[in-house]
Amino acid sequence: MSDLRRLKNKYLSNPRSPVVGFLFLLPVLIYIAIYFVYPFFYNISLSYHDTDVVSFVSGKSSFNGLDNYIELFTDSTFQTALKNTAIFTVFSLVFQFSIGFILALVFNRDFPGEKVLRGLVMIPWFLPLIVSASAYRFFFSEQGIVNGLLLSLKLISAPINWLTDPSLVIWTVTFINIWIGIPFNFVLLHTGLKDVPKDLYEAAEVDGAKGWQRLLYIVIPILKPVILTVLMMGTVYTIKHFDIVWIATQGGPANSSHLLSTLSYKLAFRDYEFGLGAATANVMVVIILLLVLGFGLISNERRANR
Amino acid sequence: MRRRSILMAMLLVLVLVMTNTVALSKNVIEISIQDVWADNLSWGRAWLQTLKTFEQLHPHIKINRIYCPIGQNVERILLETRTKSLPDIITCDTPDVPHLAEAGSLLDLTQFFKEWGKWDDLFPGSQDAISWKGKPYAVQFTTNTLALHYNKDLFKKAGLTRPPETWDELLEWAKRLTTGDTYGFAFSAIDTEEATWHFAPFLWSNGGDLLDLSKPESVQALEFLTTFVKKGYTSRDVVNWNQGDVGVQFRLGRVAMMIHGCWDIPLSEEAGINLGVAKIPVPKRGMNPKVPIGGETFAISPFSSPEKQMAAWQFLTWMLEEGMVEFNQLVNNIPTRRSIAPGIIQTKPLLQPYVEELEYGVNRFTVGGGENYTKVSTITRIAIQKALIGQTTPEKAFKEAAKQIKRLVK
Repeated sequence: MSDLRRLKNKYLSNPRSPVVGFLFLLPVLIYIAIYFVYPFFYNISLSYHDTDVVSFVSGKSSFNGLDNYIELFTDSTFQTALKNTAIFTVFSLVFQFSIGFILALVFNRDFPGEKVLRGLVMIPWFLPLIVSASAYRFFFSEQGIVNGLLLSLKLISAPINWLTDPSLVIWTVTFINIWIGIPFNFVLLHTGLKDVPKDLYEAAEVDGAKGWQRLLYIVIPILKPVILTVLMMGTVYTIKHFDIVWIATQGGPANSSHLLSTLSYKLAFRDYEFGLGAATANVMVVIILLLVLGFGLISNERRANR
Repeated sequence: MRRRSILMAMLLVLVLVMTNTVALSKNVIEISIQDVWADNLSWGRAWLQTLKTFEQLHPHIKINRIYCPIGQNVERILLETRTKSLPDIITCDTPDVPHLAEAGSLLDLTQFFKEWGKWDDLFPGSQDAISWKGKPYAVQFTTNTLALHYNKDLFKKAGLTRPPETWDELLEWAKRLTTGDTYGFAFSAIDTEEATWHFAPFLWSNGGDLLDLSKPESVQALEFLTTFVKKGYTSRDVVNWNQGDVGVQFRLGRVAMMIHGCWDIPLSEEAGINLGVAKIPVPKRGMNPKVPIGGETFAISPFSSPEKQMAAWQFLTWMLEEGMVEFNQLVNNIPTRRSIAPGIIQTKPLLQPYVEELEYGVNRFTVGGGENYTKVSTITRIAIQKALIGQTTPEKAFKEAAKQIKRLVK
């Protein structure tokens, strides 16, 4: 009896005991195990099996090793999706970030109407994606506003097939994503800029630093953690992006605008090729993991240099 | 003491309530049904009304509805099958019957249909749509197909007095109807089942075959549709248009003729379009269009208790009799029984071409590779898109597709 009490006193009544800490963590751990760890490993196992509708339900699919991956990497649709994801991610990030950064710098100064305009910049972010992507789908249709405008300005002589030309469509959806992603970059960078101490600018000005020198030697070094975070989150969001492409083109025409995410969904739930769908999703996960690790290395290096 | 008596009273009430519900549930059988019709749309409203009529006539059966968006329906059924938690009745689109039957999600209804005894009164296409490997697995009380919808006002403007009947006429009519912002003709060619579904009447009427796309009759059908896009009588955007989009363009007056289904008629009428409906034009005069048949089918869960299965069947047979008339009237669809279908023309004359077409209705998966149909369809529509956007010629597109399909269906 006294032993038990002693144990209880030692582990449960003492708030600093590791057991108590663990008990507090337990709900979250269970949640993560059920909703993250299990699906993650299930997905990996799925990608090594020949899983169609029947075997998905019975749970008795045959192991087929790397077949799914081999089939994917030799499939031209997958290759296009891989290329598209690269185009989509790189160009989205470059333009979202640079435009967001420029806007953040502009709004860092006080000028009349600054608050109202800052609110307006945020609008793309407030709109549900289904609304903005559907609107763009109409804008870029054959008789849409974009072609109408270009035609009336005599810049083009025939409508451009923004969403139906297989070589153009990925650029059109990338453009839409850039527009939608600017506010996210803007907000974080703008907040970061507010933290740059004013006296540093003044000191630099006294020392005769020009505008771009201030940017390069004061703003960017101080903002570096923010910049890295923005880029990392942006990369992850963009690589697994799904909505815009799905709403605007469903990966078409003729599979020319698929990203890895839309292709994975299509394979699994349109074509019922669960194994292939899972393999596509895993390729995406591996790419994201590698990039996040890369970012981690960069930011560690920064810390080491300090 | 007082506290105790309150406690006792509460306990007594509780016991009474519990015994009461137990007693009630003894008389009333509750069955659940998973369907794809949202309450706030006309189909959902019609469905609710029909269910209510049934419940009033059969007070011992109570139906609980579970709405599932159509895009998630098959996924959900598969998961529910895996966990053996299927609702008593589930809804599935026709092409999904084979693999859901294979997956064990659908109860074999052979005995039930034998007792019902009116199998032969169902349209042949509808019989095929609910059968897999010779056994019925579902019930279909509402069907539909495609026809040519046209805008009579735009016809008048172009000096046309009747709908086109042959392919040559369709091309000629489309040419005359294409002016300014208006395209003569439209269909859906988006990368979903809709593209195959809209292409099928042209393919089959010409003697083409989903399992033999490289044969000349199949290629001709694709060449025919590609001509419309090439000549500008049909918007290139059709590769991004689902059926809903096609209907919207039609009602905006931007499309003069379209391929569409009977469920779309009320929408055009409400929008004030002077609507005409005709059978789908055929390659040569005197031929009958071979159209694909659609419409949801309803199946019973193999995991439900025999008692619930009987109640579910009672509901479904009612839908094959009295309920069939009421529901189809409400949603502008066609009854699946030959003896009942013509009756609907009296109140809805625009449905006449549909009822006539259904005699020659073809079920997609029966002629399109069975459980492989969805894959055959995917390959086919990608080829259709490639031809329509001019990425490759119709012949090359279908030759490649035929090769892929051959590998799939041996």
